[in-house]
Amino acid sequence: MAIFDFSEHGPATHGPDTPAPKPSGAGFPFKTALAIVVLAAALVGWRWKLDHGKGIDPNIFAETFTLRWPQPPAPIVPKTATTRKSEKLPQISPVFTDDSNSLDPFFAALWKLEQNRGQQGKEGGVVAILHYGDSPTTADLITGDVRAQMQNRFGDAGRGYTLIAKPWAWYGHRGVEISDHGWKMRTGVGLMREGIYGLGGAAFEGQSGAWSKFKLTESQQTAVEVEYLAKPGGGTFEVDADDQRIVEQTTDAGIQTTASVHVPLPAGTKVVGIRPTAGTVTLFGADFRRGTSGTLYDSLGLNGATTTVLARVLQPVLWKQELERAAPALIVVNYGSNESSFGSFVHKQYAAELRLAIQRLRQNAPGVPILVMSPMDRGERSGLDEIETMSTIPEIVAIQRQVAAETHCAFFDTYDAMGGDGTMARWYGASPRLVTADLLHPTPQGASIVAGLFLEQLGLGYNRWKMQHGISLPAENPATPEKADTSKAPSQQKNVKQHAQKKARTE
Amino acid sequence: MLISAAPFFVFLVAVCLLYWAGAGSRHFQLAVLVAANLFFLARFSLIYLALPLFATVDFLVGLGLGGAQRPAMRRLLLAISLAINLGLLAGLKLVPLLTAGRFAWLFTLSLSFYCFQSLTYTIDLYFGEMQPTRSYLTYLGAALFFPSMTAGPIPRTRKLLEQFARPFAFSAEDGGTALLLIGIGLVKKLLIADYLANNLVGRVFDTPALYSSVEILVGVYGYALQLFFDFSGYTDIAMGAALLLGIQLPENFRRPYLAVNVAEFWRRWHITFSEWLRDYLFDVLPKRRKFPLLSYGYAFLITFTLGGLWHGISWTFLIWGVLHGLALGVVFAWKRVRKIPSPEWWARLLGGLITFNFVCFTWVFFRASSVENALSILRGLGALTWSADNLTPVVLGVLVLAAVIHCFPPRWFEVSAGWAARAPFWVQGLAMAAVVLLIQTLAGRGSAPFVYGNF
Repeated sequence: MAIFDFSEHGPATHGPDTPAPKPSGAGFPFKTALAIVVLAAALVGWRWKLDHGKGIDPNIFAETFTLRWPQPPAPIVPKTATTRKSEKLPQISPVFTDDSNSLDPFFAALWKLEQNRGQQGKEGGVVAILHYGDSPTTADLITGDVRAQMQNRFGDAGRGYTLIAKPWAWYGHRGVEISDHGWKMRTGVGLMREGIYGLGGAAFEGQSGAWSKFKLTESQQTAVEVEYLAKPGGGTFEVDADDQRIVEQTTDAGIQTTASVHVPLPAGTKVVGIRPTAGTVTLFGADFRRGTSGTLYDSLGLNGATTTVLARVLQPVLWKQELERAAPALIVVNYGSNESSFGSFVHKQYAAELRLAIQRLRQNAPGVPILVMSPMDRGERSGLDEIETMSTIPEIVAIQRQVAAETHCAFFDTYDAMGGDGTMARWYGASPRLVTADLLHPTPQGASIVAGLFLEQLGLGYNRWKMQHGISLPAENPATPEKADTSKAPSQQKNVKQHAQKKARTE
Repeated sequence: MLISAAPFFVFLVAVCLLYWAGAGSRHFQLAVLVAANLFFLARFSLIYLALPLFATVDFLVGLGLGGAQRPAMRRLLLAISLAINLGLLAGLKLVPLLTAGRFAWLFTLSLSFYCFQSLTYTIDLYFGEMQPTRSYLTYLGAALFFPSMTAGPIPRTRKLLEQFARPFAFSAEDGGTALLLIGIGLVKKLLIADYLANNLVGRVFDTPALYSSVEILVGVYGYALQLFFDFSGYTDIAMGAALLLGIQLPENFRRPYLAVNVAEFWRRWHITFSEWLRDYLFDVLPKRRKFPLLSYGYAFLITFTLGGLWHGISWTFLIWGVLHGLALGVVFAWKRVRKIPSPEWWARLLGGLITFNFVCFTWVFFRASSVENALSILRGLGALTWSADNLTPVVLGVLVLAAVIHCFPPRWFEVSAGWAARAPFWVQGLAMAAVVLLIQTLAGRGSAPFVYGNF
């Protein structure tokens, strides 16, 4: 009796269990050897004459016969990347630069929030941040962590902007569970021409029968602002809260423009529904607010998106209206991962494309600080059993750094903050895994680290701003770049505070 | 050194040319093979050059067992071998665990397959099923045989020694079959397994919250196919490489997902491992004829719990092993109750569907990084969300192709091997070059590590 020997017969096997002696062929196997020679010659010839990227890589021979002692892996995030603090002003850190102090209005607005937080009768307003990006942003992974931590420190003004429906299964927005049906979806990805999209670069067209539901799983939201396309011959849609109709809105208008309807939500609303009721409507997004002061962090990611979405696709008149409604205090431009697949584009056109995107942002959101955030590392498997950084990534980062400096934008070097060259190999090999098998997207754990790095550097910039304005730094702040000057007199601090507030109002 | 990566093939060709050049001298060939084995180990890390010391102990234990007659002495010798090999196995599994992975970088090569194979030598000698080899060179050639070192199949040392004891024999048919096996293995690994891993499975398992139930279900099925093509791809390459040296390794897979019950699944999946478990663990466990269900049930459970933990000391592998142990118990009980020799076609179909889905369910625990990750996958499946936006036509096409290839009858391979053997050398060479260039074009460069290389 044996474990697998029940009464039935197993399938027939091919190949003997005990190999039988072979009768012939005891000498040198010339035929097989010649076949191998032909194989090698074909691969060498292919590489030499036809395609230099394929065939036999000469490095393989050296690699094959190299022996090594085991080496301990590099730390997930090398200390040099995170602990390089500013030695002197104005540089914030090697991975976060804002040499033109472009973020000052944003920091001043944050300071206002920080000052008034918890003080009865004082409101710091809403500080909105728009984060344009590609697939990691789509899933609200890094942005979700950044939002949570910023709202924890500066106050929670709401969940912010989500698309009307999920264009991809992995589209998400933390604290809002989206389900939808029957929408015809368009995004600005992969196009080179202007089109009509919402703030998030997507549009959803629907008729009666289509619907979206937003289940609010975290904090209470007191209002939702639905962004839509008003146009001649538009239809109507309704917004309900827990299946109770709150508003029915027409999208009919004399001219084509973007518009929004502000819908107060009853206390305790758990599910917000949006559905077309007549005609065809084009909706863009739903912006959830709490009616309290604090930060909003809008995750505006499109799967497969590149800088071209901002540079060429969003129709300027409509985009300007949308940006005015959103009233951001900071716009983060976070592309580059998808561009990295196109080396020639990166060499020849990427810098110009990024300049154009920033120029258009400046035109449509004048005075709003822009922070260029570089892509994360992106890995590819080499022919030598290793995961290595795609060669275009450092190039993209260098271009972004240069263009950001030229155009007076702040710049966060995500790639180097993560550890630079070879990061994906380390992160993929980590336990738990910090990036997915495509060596491009972070896992939730990896995203949390990237968010932490970003916030740490943003905190350094904020602290530098405070120091420049004579504001003492809290002793417990872990992101203190240098010794905080706590000797300032209260009156002096008050002056600085007033200066900051005034500057924020001016901006 | 990944056996699906280019450096391995440079190494293999160098070894083959030397090995074939010594076709007239078995000693010379064995010396070449032992040097190749040592180089292969050193290529992972120079610390693995200590492994021959362990192999030497087994060789000496084998000589001792060949001469010792007293049962106590034989037990002592076997205990030494068990302690050495199980100690090595447990140490390599436990050290990274106990040190929270801090020293995992020291052990880039799992020695599980080595330990299992070595134990077949001393245990077979203990039970008198073979005579020990007196050739140290032959033993090192067999025990450290590089094609199967990383991830099997697990040959019986006895059968390798028998082959090394014969004069070198290598026919043109062997050459054609070996090249075909290597080509098939590369396609399985690099075009199917790695594609599914990168474009579907890895994403679903790493971030299940981002996928719908349908996508997760397809991702789980995708993992079943990825694992099969990854592991059987490795096995094909290993068998092909061994065949170039005139050695036949045992078969490891027979269309496992066509099994109609879990017992049959284990006769078709990782056959050398399940046979090892059967012969060296299950059969050794005491059983009472009076209580067959109880005693066989516990034996199944013990065997597969340990089999699960062999893959890694973690709750996920424990659950995987326990589930298979329980399922084998159920099949055993069902067979005793029903006693139907050959069920109807619909019963076989139903059994096949249930078995496949059960196996896929257990693969969730096998693949998951933690129990929480596995539960996330299962919660995602239970959410009953129907979006299929992430299932691109290419991914679905590769899945269907993989399922079809999995079902190819073994006879087709034999026919193909016959063609390959009869083809002129230049056709063989150009066909292999075409396979390599096709892989480089479609799959890009490089290869992910083999899943079973971690065990």
